[in-house]
Amino acid sequence: MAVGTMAIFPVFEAVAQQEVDYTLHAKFLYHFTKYIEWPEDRRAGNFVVGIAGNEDLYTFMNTIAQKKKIKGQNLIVLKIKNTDDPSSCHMLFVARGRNSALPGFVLKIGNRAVLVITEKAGSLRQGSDINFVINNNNLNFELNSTGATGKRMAVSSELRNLATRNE
Amino acid sequence: MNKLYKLIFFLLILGIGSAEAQIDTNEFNDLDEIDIYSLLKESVFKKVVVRFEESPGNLTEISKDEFMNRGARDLMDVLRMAPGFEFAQNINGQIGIGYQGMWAQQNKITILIDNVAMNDGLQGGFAIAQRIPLGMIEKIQIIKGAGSIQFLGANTMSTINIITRSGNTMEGARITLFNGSYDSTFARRGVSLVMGDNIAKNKYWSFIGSYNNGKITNVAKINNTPWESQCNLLDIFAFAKLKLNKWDFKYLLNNYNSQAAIRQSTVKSLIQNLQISNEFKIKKTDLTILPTLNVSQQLPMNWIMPNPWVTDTNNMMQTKAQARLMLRHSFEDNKIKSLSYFGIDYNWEQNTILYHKTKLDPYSSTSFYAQNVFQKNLSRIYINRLLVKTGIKADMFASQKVTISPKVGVEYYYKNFQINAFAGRYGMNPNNYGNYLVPNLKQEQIQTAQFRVNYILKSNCNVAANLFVNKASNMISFMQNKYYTDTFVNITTAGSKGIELEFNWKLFDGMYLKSYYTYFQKANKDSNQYSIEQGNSGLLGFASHKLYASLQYNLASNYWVNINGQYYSKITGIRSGIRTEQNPLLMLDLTLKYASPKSPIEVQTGIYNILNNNFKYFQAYSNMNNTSGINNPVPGGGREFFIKVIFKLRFYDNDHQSYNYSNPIIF
Repeated sequence: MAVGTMAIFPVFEAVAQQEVDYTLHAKFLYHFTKYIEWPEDRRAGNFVVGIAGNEDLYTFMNTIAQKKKIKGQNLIVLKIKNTDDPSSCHMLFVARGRNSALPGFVLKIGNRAVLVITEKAGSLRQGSDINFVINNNNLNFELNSTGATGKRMAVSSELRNLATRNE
Repeated sequence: MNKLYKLIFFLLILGIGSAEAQIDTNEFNDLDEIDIYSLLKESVFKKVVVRFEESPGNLTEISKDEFMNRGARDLMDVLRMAPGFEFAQNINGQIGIGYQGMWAQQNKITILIDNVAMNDGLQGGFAIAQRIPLGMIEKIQIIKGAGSIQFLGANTMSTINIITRSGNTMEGARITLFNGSYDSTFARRGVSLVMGDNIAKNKYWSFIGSYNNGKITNVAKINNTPWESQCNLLDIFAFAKLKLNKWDFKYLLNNYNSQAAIRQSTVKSLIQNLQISNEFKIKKTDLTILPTLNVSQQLPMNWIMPNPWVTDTNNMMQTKAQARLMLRHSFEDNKIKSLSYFGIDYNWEQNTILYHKTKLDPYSSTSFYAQNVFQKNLSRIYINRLLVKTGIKADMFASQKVTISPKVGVEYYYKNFQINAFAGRYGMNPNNYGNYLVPNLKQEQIQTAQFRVNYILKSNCNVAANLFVNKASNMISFMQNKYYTDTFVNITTAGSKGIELEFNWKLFDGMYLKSYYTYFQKANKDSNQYSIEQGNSGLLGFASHKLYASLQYNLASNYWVNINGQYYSKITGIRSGIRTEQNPLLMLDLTLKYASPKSPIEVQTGIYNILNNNFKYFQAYSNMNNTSGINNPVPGGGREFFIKVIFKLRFYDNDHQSYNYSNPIIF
């Protein structure tokens, strides 16, 4: 809070760390689907988004799911545990605190068309397709379009241009 | 009462008429209207949540965890954790608040419980000893700057808002038993119950009930003769709250009785208050309407004086209705975020002086107030963040001139510095009783200016310095003449200036030091030092130098130990021309607390005033009786051993879906 002079330790916390608003991540996840084409066999049934380790984002995506469809498919949001197999997802978000599980998820996904999204530096090299980065208070993203293409997903050139880095 | 009924009717019509306008904004409604390009320009950090009472720089919040871990027994212990507050015995034995060296009763500080003003209608004070159990409190806000404009009450020097626990966060009950004893006598005992629960989303209730009985005792020596001074206190409190979507219902009942020092008189106070409010948000206008209705009845001072001269005095009953219409407007663009409040308070009072069998003419006033805050920099990052807050209130009374009270505050964050300043000028008209007794009473005026610099040394340590100047002229003081007849007087100029230094240090996880030093002197050569002069009596004494340190240590995961030390410099009082002094004092307290998340029982115990100071001082107040002014310069009694046991009951197991919906003002 702004000025709790007595509440000294909350003040320190506010200075030391800024609170990230995951509604913006949720909006990005929704908009990413407009720039990526999933293979034919994934265009029927539900559009499944898996969230590993972020309750806020899970809640926000569920709110979106109540209002929106993705390319005509019903949006389903699942919580993903470290031991789960996320292969049935179209998108998988791995929170910073769960990044240690990323290699395991990538291994289980293999070459299935699952767009892996992370928020920790260096994640592209561990198999992430899109990695969120924060620049000057803004949420940007890095892209590994080669990896996504290798999983039979088509990434639009517009999205490639918007990425701060494209591997 | 016709006006009152019209107001109620008006508010109900307004409420019904606006009900259809309630629309909950939804973050993702416009998802397809925005594109990824605009998302890239949005700040990823949570937008700053600004509450209006929040600063610039002048909000102090003390949470329940803070004061419970530090072993506070009552409201006085809690307020002493913030620099500036001290306490003294008011006329007829009640304990009142002093602030920055000034006697702050008589509406200079407004006490609110969940925004319900508690100051009595006769003197404008609030007897604070053994009143309002801590178990019911979620947090306490001390609001000094422009943010205090919006609150009901005069709040000239600061507003203390006691926020009680709420049903949406409790989902259970809490029973607190308290017992304290002096060396050989009973000190205080009390029981309080707080319970609350959710009914559904945005619907919850809570109930608070408490019974407290206490005694403040002291032995003073006057001319080598020991005088025992005792003040018996009884506080019965009930508070029910119900929230149904946008509707808020509150009913408060407080019966407070104190038998004054040396059992000279009994002061009874009864407050009943019903508050109904609603909040309507109008879509796309950035406008929120908050109509509120307060109806209260007070028996503020019923003095029973078993004195040969007087058998019954000062019986004043007061009924009061206050209606408020507040419009909150928020405006935002990319760089400057601005929020405005506009409000109107209409106050209607019916006062009856039972002693005189006189029903005073209804007394009404209208207040207009406006507040605005803007800030630069959207995120929670403090570097280079600028906040400017202004507030102005105009009070119009039927029989008095208009008072204009402006306040302005600025807050700026630069690197590790947090700098804030505020200045205000406040005008206060006499109340209805004062008008009735002394028609030519002048308006009281107070000017305040403060400048505070807070420097965060490291992530675990800060130092702060606050310079202040307070000046009051034509102060309105309630007093009795030698025949115990009420009167009000404008007393001479009073004021204080000084500095408050704070140092807080988290030595390591589990050990926290909170400390401050305060110094004040009279504001100028014409002003009375320390406080007010009353008739031919004298001055209410506060120590010019005070040092406070509180060290809290988390012994093991469930055990806290806390050591408080307070040093007071010499306190001087003058009464009926006789000067008395209290030598410098060192007070030490030791408290222990056990609390475990898994255990339904929490226990606190400790000893206050370990050194068992004996006070050789008599209070400056009262000009009538040689024995009435004896007082402890540090109200709260002598050495006290206390034990507090809290039983926590949850209505549900841990898997229960909790409804914790806050609706902050975000911009």
